[in-house]
Amino acid sequence: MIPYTIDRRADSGVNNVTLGIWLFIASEVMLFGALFSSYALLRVSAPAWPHGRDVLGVWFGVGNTVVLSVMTALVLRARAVPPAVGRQFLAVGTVLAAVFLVIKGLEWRGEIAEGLVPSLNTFFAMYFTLTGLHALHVACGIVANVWVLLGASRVPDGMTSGRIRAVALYWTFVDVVWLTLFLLFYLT
Amino acid sequence: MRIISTDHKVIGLQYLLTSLVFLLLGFVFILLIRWQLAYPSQPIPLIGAFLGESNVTQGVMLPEFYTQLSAMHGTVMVFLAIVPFAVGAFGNYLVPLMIGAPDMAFPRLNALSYWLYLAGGLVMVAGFFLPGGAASSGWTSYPPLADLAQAGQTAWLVGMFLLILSSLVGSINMITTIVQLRAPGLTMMRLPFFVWAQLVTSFLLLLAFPPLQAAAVLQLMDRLAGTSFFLPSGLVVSGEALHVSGGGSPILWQHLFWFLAHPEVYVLILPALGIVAEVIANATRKPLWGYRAMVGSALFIGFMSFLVWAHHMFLTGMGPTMSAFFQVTTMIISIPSVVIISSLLLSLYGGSIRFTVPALFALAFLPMFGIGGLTGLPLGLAATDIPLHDTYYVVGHFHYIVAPGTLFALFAGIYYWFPKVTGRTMNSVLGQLHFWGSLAGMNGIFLPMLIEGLAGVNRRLYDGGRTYTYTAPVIHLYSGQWWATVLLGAVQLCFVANLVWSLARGKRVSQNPWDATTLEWTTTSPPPHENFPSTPRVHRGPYDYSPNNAAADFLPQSQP
Amino acid sequence: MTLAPRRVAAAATVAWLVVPAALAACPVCFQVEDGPAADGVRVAVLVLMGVATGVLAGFAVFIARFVRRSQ
Repeated sequence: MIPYTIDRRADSGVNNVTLGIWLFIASEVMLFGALFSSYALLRVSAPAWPHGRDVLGVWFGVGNTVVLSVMTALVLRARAVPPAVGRQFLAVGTVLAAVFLVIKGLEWRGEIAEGLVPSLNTFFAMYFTLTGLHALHVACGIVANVWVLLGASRVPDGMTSGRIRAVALYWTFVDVVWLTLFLLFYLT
Repeated sequence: MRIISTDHKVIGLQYLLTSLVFLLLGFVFILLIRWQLAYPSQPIPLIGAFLGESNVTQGVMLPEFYTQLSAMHGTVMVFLAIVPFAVGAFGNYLVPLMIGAPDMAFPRLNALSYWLYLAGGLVMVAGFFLPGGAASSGWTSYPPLADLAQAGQTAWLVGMFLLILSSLVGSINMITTIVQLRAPGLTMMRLPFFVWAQLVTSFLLLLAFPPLQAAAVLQLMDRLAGTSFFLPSGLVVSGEALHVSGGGSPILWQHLFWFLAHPEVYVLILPALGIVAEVIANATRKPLWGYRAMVGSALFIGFMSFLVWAHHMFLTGMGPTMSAFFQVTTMIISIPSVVIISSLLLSLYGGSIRFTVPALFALAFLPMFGIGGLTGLPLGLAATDIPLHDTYYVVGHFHYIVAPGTLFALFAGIYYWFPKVTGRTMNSVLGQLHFWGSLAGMNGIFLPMLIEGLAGVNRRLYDGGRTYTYTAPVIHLYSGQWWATVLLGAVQLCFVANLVWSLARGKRVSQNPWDATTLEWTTTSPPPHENFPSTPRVHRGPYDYSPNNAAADFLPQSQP
Repeated sequence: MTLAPRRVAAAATVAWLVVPAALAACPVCFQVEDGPAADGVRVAVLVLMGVATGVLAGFAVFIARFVRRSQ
């Protein structure tokens, strides 16, 4: 009934889902851009700013980076194979994303136990808020993956392929944001 | 009709009804405020006794209540009334019809956007029932005040979070729909200007709202998690030093807020310009003058509006370099707005104008928006903004744009498209009464504001500035403004009565009573669920009125 | 205009042309243009404008592609 749900339209060169997900990513870039702009303001204007390596557990960060990067690579690969195989890649990726959240949760628990909380200073305020929002996006991504996996048996393969491409783009974005966070908070 | 419907027409009407209720609520707030300004320390008539003891003492408004009403009036009108009315109601209902599509691209997301809007609106207004009352730190929620305010401010922030989600989902839907679902033959340059306006509006909503979403999260963290994103070091509240880490910046909030709120004002005006364009083309029986220039100007406004926001912050001590930059971009962005309004004015020349009720509203929009726009120029120039910032001059300026500007356009749209939605027309005598009364009332309220502002009267003052001696020459204007508000309210009742009566007993009309050219008029009134029995094919531009060498006075877009 | 105000206006114009800062008496302009707070705001504005410009450029590319494809 609604045209271009799977096929591409000639003048735009995309189908509805592809355009929709790119628009969503654009808005998310603005969201995290505003947060990074806030980070810049607070850091540049602060009289003192801790080195991430000194106050955060860098190995947690490295672990999360590896997990999320592998996950993203898997989901990107899932686009290029038939949906039946792609679903398996997506399922494994979803598990990895959950592992990311577990690592993050453990890290936070340790920090809070040491009295490193958002109200301590603007570094931790920014750290918890940014990693928290990022984790929220990972959680929502997991929900999206599960929705794609559950729906795969009920919708045409073309539609599942489109959905896999959409979540792949989303996870790429989530990974890029994480890499930026890792760089800004853990390494500098 | 199911209440959780994915049909864009049902969702559009849900948005319409909800936004009209919020519009009424925002108006009630302003009635109370205007009473207080005109007759301070006098009991509010009729309802004064029922407003609660934290709000009124023996019927007389308390300052705390005044600031809540003031903040919530702006919030409700901008976020819960006008934008959902212009985009959620008009955009949702009409865009698929105008482009020959069976629905929006993502019908379930469309439903989600409505229910998120309703939830967000209810959460915000629920603030009135929390201890300390609703948000009262201005519609702009500036920290440090907003960071430290009562629970109603948290409700404002949570409500705003939900509203922004609603808006994002809706704008993704609108842009995808316009780009992807146009009927065969409907190229972008054959789109009605209304659709272009909705496209640029959604583009602005998509990209400008996320920074405010970020800011709302940061302020929530400040209020609930004890962070200091916006709290500077060394703050003392009621004689005691505040026990927070400090190191934050109130200016950070302002930048993030105005980064949204400037594009937001174009969100408030663009759909209105779209409606006025449609009504004027139809009423004059000739094509719009300068369609391509109007489209180009709308796109230019879309891009440029992201580069002007700090003209709301000229008095924050930014220094001449930044001020100069934002002043220049602000002057540049006034040009496309002038192009659009001039094109609409030039479209009247040589027209054979049918003075229907929608046409009256659309025609009055032009000089009213002109006043609003021109009064903005001294505000956009940093030097002249210095004495005018935060005075009633600003309030008068933006109300001229939104009230006899946008709201008139929305009224024009209601009277114009009512026959498409219902198959009946509205009563034109009541419509004329609504028009003339609103025109008189609005000018009676907002013109004195320009005078009060030039005299130096500050905004948001509980006593209307009476403690300052320099306001004495203009205080007498308040009572006139009160009566103008009463008049305005009275004729809105005519409008509501007209709407309700016409729904049941309005004169039945054909599917194209205005002899209009755009696609929505080629289907039945109301349209069937799938909008068109078969996909239309478009052969001509949107305004083929008074075509050469044709017997007819107009040719529909789908006419071969 | 009578003679005296014209002379004042002429003198002021000359002063403004020779030493612009002499007439910049408004406190809004007299702002500390260095210092961490001002630097912070400047960097933040540049980052936000940079991100916005990048995203807008992306849209511009899409529009250009669209225009080319529809011809």
